[in-house]
Amino acid sequence: MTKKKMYEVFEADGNTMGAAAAVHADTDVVAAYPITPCTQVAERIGDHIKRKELDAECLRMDGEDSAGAACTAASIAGSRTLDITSSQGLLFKAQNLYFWAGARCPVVLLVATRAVNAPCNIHDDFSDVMSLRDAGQIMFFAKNPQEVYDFTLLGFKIAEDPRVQLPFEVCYRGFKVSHTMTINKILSPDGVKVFRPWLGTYKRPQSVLDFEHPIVAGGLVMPDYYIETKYGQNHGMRQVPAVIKEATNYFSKRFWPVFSDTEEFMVDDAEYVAVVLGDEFGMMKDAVRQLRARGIKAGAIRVVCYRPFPVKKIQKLLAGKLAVAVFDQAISSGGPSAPLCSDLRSALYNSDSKTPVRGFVYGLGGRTLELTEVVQSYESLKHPKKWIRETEPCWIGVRGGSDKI
Amino acid sequence: MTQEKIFEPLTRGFAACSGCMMPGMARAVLSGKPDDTDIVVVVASGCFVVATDIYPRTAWSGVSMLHPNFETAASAASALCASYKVQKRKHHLPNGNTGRKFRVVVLAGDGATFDIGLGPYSGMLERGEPIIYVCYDNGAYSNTGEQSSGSTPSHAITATTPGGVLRSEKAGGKDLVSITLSHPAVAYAARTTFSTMLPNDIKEKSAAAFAHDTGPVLLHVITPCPRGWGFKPSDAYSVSDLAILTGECPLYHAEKVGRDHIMHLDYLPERYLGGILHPDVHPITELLETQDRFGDLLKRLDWLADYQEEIDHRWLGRHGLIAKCEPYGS
Repeated sequence: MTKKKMYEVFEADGNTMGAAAAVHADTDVVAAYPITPCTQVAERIGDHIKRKELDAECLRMDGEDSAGAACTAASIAGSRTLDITSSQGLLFKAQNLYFWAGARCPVVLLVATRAVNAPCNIHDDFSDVMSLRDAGQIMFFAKNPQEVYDFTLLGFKIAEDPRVQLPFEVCYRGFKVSHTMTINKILSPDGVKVFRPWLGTYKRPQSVLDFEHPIVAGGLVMPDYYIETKYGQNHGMRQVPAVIKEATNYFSKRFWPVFSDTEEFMVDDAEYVAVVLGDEFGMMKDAVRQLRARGIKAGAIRVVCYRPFPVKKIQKLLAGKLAVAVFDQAISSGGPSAPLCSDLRSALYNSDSKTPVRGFVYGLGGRTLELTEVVQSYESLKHPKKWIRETEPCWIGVRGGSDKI
Repeated sequence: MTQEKIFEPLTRGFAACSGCMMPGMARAVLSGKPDDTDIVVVVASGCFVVATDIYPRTAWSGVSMLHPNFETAASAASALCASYKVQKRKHHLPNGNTGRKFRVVVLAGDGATFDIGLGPYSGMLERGEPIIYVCYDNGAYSNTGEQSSGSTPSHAITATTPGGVLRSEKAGGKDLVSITLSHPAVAYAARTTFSTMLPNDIKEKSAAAFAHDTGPVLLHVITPCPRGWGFKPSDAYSVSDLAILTGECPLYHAEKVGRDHIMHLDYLPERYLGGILHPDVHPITELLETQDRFGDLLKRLDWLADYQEEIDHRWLGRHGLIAKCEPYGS
């Protein structure tokens, strides 16, 4: 008997892969509103429904906020629910992300990340997702269309786990991942037959559609109970690392390998390490190769799971390094560092690490990060005295800017 | 005689203000639920949530209630319909496919409907699910302390219009039923209130709302608010009666027949009998004098004339109620 093949090859961009995952996860309700560059996910899902490859209700909403609320209600009604957005759309639906977390709605949200107005810009950065990093959702950053698919599938499994019951956000850069065609693996029909029973159907402990057991959802909670509900929500987040490990271990064994918290490149013996989110990791790897050829021991880390932040793993990976560069594609204007850098410094502060960390801001609004800039940034790590007293990140590639790498 | 079985989803612990018409409004609009129908109630932020649900207590019994963010009750209602449909198809419903009917009932105030939630409300009406949308309207944001809304009567005093200056003369508030009827999918829309004069009006319209299941339904219920309007809690019913008599609160409904919405008057005030103005019969001052919020209006003869003209025009104008509705009593 030949072993059944779990996957087939599929050439597609990030948005198409997100839609394929929605089909293979047997999503029930999709509520979305058009916004560049994520719109194709909903369009493709519409095609899948038309071809009867997916049995779902795709709601035409009148706005992003409405779409977010529709996902709230669908999830509270016990449906497997997907939402898709970018940029202004994410900010317009912002309050719903807090609602999903507080009301324990395991909505999976795909975000093709994009700069935020003003000025108006449709290209990539992480300003949108970073502005809502504390809303209570699990956050994964995908580096390619393959990971958009993988994390969407795993997102439902992890988010709907009874120990978790929290929203799950898959972030991938607009156009650079959402619109770039790559060769990918997707589940074959046999793979789907194995995956679906493992994923199961979403069983909400209490649904508003259970007419025999009526509930109140979203009622008023005053100071006498509010903090306990928030503690409960945060307790769900504390369970996430273990649930991710279980899910990614199974998936890696049964289908193909997936990352669960971080991805590393030549970090073990590295003296200087760069940390980044998403597909810019490829640029870091190129820089590491170039630097290693010149005898500089460089390495790179990609934070895959940003919420919950892999504190222990980061502490372990960076122990004993000479210096670290953190690349942020978002800012916290007036703050001591940009979001990823702030989190990373916090993670290191209470460890034994004395490693100096330098923050860089790059690529706002989709500006290309040049390899030479990355290499220079690494090289600057050798001279911490020159930057150790910086009180804010160094902006890379700004015409007329005064920051010096 | 057999005892009538009453659906009573709101029980003890309803913390509305004394004299508030909201609890009666809710019980009346839900009274039309047929026995073969399961419902979920979606409540927009406002007095209703605060008065019925402060954890761990609830006044709701025997029916699930969902309170989404303020402006999105209509969006949530659409999604509940979609969820029910897809779970029924996939045999995922918690109680199985029972063969019973399912309706979503929305309870939303005028702020949630006329103002912040108008876009989502319009979206819901356009998508066309047979949701019963109840707008309980007291003409202000009462829960946050009586700020003016798109439904506040001209020249009324509110927290944000302390001198009674709300909008320019010859400009009234929004007409929710007209907005609603601009959406072709709407199956039924009615304007009603509580009164001793026509006590069954609201109950009949509730039954009609549940009977119309081919598209969205609006019940626009004028709900007197003793605190916001400034009258004694015991006077709520007499205020309602006067609102009907003076023509300030017209009672009518519209039904979809073919592609048309056919409008019917449910009460024709004597003032407009025969489609002509009887200026001495129940002038608007009779109603205004019952409420503190019209204190400034009553002192200004020009405003008074403007408001009386607005009410009369609502009935007798070129596109007024008498022109729009089928002949009264037909």
